Amino acid sequence: MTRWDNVGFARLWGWPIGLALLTLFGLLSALLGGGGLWWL
Amino acid sequence: MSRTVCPRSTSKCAPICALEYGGQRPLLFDGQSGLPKDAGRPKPPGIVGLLLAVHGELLAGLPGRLFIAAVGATALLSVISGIMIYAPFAAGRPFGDIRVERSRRLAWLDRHNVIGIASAAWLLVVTATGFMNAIERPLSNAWRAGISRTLPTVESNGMAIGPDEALATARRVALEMKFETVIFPGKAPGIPGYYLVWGSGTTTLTKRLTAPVAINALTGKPSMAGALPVPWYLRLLDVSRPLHFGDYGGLPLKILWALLDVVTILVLGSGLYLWLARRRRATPAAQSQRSHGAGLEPEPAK
Repeated sequence: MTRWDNVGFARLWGWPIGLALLTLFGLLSALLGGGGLWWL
Repeated sequence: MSRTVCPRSTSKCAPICALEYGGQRPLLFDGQSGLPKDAGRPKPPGIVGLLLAVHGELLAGLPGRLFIAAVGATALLSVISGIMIYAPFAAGRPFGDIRVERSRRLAWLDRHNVIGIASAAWLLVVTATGFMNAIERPLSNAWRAGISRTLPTVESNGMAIGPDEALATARRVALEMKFETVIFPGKAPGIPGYYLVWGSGTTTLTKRLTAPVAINALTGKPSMAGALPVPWYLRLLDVSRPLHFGDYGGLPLKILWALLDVVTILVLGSGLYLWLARRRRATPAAQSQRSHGAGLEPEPAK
């Protein structure tokens, strides 16, 4: 067994997944908003 | 040679400019007088156009584009494989932890992993859309060949109607669309016997989705009520263009894109450094250093 098997999923992937979701949200909201933010 | 007519603004009264492609460069014509601009000479590409040609096809036409597509596919695989091996190399340390005290290589490994995983979503989007853009011409050719087979053959090569009439007909049969380009009948990017009047939707969700209305060049009649059906891969292309270049959000998004490009160069540069450093590990001195705990393997279980 390796050390990372014991690491919690949230601790290992929390920041990467959070940043990925933020990136995709930003890209799509600007795309749908025609350069602005679609919800404004 | 093919000719394209495109309105220069969204106003219905705006003059139309015609672009006639001689070789690879557009010739400009005044849409109202029909006279050629710049004395009929091809418009020379500016510095941005030149850089775009290098970026998209290495100034080598279709072979260059296909090579760039292969590079894009390789980059996409690199990003995916990088995400897959992130967990073992992160080894349970806090996000952003850089082990500067142990060795230079290990510190750069951590920087590579942290910067790479933080920008992974953007890297995936840009590499995947870049690959799509690079194969645009083969995809368009495939679609055009398919649509040519379904349209009734126009026997004569003559054009009984002009582009303005084709544009007016397209506007009449597809009221919900805004038209921007008229491609004359002929070989690529056109199809024989038909004007292709390209337009896009007008709602938030459809304004980046393009589709053509095919107008019979002899009769002036549309091939069907509305625009031609567009397959999923051309829809993907429509979305790929803005997402690859980041030119849909004004200057702030362009600056952000430039910064993320610098981040990408950092990831690429550090990856190259780590690859070279790994090759040097084969030397005895490097083996000695490895035995002191500066290796680049995932950390073992404790």
